[in-house]
Amino acid sequence: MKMRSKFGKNLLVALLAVILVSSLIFAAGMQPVEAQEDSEIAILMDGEDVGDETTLSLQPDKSVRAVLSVDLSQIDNNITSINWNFTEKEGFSKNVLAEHDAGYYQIEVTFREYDEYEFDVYVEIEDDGEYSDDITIIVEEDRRGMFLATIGAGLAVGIAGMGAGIGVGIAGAAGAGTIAEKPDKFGLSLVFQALPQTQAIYGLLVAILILLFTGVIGATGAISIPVGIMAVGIGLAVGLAGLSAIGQGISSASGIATVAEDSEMFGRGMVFSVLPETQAIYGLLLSILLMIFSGLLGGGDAMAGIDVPIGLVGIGAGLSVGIAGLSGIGQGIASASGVATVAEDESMFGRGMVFSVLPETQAIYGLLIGILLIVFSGMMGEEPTMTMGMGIAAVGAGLSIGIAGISGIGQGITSGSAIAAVANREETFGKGMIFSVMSETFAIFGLLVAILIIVSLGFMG
Amino acid sequence: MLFPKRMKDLTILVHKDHTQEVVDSLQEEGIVEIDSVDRDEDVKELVEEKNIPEIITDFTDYEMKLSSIIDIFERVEEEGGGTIKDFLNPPEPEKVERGKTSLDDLFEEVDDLLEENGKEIKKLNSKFMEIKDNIAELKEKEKALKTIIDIDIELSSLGESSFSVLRLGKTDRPVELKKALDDVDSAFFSKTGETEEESLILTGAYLGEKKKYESALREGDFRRLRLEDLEGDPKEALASVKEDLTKLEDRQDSLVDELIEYKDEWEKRYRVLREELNIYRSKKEIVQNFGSTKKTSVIKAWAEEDKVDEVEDIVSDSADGHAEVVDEEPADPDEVPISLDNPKPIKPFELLTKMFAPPRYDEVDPTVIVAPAFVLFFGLMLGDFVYGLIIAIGAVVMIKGPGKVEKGIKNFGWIMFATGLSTIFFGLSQGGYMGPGRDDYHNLLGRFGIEAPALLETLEGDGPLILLIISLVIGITYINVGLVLQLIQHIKRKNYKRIILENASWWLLQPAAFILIAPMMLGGLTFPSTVNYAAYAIGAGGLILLALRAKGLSFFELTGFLGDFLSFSRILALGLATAGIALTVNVITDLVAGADVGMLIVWPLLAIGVLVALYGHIKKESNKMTGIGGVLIILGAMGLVDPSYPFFVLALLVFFAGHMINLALQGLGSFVHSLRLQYVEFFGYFFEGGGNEFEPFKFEREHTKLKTKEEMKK
Repeated sequence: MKMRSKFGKNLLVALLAVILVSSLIFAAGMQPVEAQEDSEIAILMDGEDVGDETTLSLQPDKSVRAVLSVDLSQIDNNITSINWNFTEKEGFSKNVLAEHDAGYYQIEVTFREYDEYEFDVYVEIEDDGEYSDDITIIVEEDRRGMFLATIGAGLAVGIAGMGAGIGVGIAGAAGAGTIAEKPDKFGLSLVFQALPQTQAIYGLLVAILILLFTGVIGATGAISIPVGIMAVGIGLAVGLAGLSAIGQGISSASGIATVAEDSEMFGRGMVFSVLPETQAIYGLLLSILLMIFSGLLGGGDAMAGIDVPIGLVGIGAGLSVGIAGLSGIGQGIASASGVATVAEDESMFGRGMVFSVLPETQAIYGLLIGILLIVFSGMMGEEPTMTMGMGIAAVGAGLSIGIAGISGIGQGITSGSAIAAVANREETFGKGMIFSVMSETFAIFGLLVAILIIVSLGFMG
Repeated sequence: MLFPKRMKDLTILVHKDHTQEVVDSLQEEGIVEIDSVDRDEDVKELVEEKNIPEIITDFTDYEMKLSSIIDIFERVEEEGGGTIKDFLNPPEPEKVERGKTSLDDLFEEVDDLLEENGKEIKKLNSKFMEIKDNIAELKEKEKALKTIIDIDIELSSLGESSFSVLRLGKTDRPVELKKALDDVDSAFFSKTGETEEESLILTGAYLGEKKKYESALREGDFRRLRLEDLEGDPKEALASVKEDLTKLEDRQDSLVDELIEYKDEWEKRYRVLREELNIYRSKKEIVQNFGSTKKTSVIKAWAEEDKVDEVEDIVSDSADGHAEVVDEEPADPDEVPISLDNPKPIKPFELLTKMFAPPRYDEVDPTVIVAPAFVLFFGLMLGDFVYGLIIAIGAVVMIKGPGKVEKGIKNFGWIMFATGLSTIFFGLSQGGYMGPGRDDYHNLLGRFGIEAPALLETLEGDGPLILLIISLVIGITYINVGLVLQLIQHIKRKNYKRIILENASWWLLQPAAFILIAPMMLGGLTFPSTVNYAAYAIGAGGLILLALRAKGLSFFELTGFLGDFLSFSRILALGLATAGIALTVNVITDLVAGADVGMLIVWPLLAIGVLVALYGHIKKESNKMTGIGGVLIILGAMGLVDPSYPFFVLALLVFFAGHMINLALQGLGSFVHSLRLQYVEFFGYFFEGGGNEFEPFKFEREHTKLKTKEEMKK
């Protein structure tokens, strides 16, 4: 009964907290509704009444246009004159689209600079007097992509954190079990438990870099929607690859158990336990490459060239490396077997490692496709030319090799078993290899399809 | 350098009268490995009988007696408290000079020593252990008493009297306990105290029903407090227990002091005698390996080729000429022990090679290449001036301190020192001083306004791309170094066919791949069509050779090679990770330092600080609490002066803690990944390992030193 009342208390407190926080957010978000003024005439932008003030997003080195018109449909009587009033500024130019005897009533305006632009129009109606309306157009940096960028940052640290948490938990369980028997191994166990934490740190790193360079922290800058999409791809790369920490947790757990029996195994146990980190490193690598080529990491100029298809390429590359990073779980399983085997038979160190790194190939395929996508999308150059279709195809290619890369888990299971077999009977090395490599064939199918997509959709020149 | 030392297979024949001297001298010089006569078929045939050693149970006996006293000394040292200082700077053991003693004399010395003080020491020790147990018991009672300090009960009434049994204890299931006790007629149940988790129960029953009563107690999960032998109420009892405890602890301290006196005077002598015993024993044991004829001992040994002359001299001197040494080339390379041949600066790195496996006799010893490569990779991956400095300083401390005594630590220290220097160098070239130099988030130098130039900015502009290219170039170069070593090995082993199948195929495929694929990846690069055709040709050649070698697994060989190549990109990734995480720490530091909450933080800080300090003071147990409270008060007071000061202090904390964590994590990562690149991507091409290390017949004297021949003649 005591348990339930404590649980109930905690639940109640949690509920109250949620209610409190959400009402605060809600209250903050509510704004008074502005009363709309009724006018006889109204300036419409692109056919719609946008009120007194509106904003337009301008990407760097580009221009944005809008059509301003006066709605004359409500007026029955004769119009005697239409007069426009605006300050001539450098940043904009106009083009008359439709004229009337009394004056022009529809113009196209093109903005090239960040500024505030005011337009007034005066319409004189026979026997009715003069009516007017005005509109202020604020042209500002395109920051619409920011929300996508924050999603990217969240994915990076969130998914990687999930992987690290599970991995560290698995290792910690082994640690707790070990110190029950041998309390003096606490320090060594703690070191092993620290290994799967690095994935979360990479995720945090990328998240902070994204937030930094998109202006959530510190300096401001333009970030268009395509760059935001790219940021999602960046987050996926390091986040999903961080799930390899689960595999690293498995191998670290084996390391802890082995070191408990024989402290001399510390060095070798470490080497095996670090093998599954490769996937996370590839994820980090690709994240950073994407950040460089999208211009996030370096300067706004490169960002000008990024359009939505290129952003989708970023997502494709991210998925490619990220999902394939799950092969780290397979590598963890194999490494765990490696550690245990080497503890029994020192001479198995080399061959144990050879088997343990077999599941890494899937991650390499993922990295390869990621890099190919980056290179052939023309991101690295000045003027990438890609259509929307190619962009979506890139996502397809990424999924193809990424999801096929999960076959690494199967390969890890086989490799782990093969290590034990070879320790038992040396001649099984070759045949064990063949068994282990079977799972890889399906990753190769995925690789093939991805390459076909890249080639046939005209990526390569 | 590239191969283990040449060894010679020795057969030493000594007249039986001189065998002992020869054994003594060989052990002192320590340049031969002696193994069993059985390993050489020819010799085995000739010898009649194996030398049977004298019974050596006496050795074990005497050694155990000495060891038990030495163990007492060691335990006493722990109680006396070894400090970090002792660990960092252990005193080098002094070596006592000894002449040659006969075994009987040695035994006599041990007997004399034990008679002089062995008994006293043992007596002191057992008293010490007894007191230790008593103290533990009293501390248990102290703990239990503290939990019932407020209960008003005469403790001596607990336990069994003539008619009743009374118990005080705890349970977290009082309801079950009460129910269980209800079944026992004479039992009573009284709850005297309660916390959230458990209840304090006073209970008793008629002695006659003791069995039923005790099983009811077990049902209710009753945990008894054993306080029967105390008198008075808990407050009085606690006072008297504390008094007893202090008395015992004082007695314990004085015993420890007495034992330490004995230790300081006699420990050396014990260790010296034990070492002499062990030396004797090893000499007796080695004789088991000898063969013999009627008048000769036959010894099979290994020695390094350039030491064979020395061996001949030693044997001939100590046997007075009545000996003969025969040296031959080893017949079977698998049998030969491995002694690595590396120049002094490379020697510590043998640790890394051996961790994988000692090379075989006819195999390449890669240490001379692994050493600079490992140091290079590490430096690139960690690349920060300050981190490298810390590592280098730590290494020096290690070498000068614990490294004086333990060779393994010394070697590791040298490796660390080299990697530290490399890290400093690359930190300079990458502009990393606890983070990359940036205008908005400063690294260590930036905070003092110093702008340090960098050859290659890790996190800006073209830097990462160039680093990537460097990593991959290093990768492909290193893999080809591996292929060259493979070539050398094949030549040595005369596997010419494999040279064509392995080396040739990779050296045809690589240029072909480059010529055909590079133009696709690097925009402006094109080759004339003749070159392209040539590339197709040699590429096809390479593929054919590959298929001949690997048949069905050929594709996996290709992907394996590609994988090894791409794997070196981790040099960039880790380098970036170090810089990036350092940058993150700097970002968070600046965020914390710039936090502008105003006076809002000061009052809560002061209030909490005062509360915590008072709490710690009142409870009288926790100096920690008072300390923490004091710190908070100081922070709050600083906040009164200027609300940003506490944040400044906090930011400083974040800065140091963050960078230390980064150093630890990335240092470990760089170490293991640099090592892994050696083991997986480099060794895989040519190295198998599996040799046996050369273990010379030698006794490392720690506490003794043998007088030279001249000194002994005196």
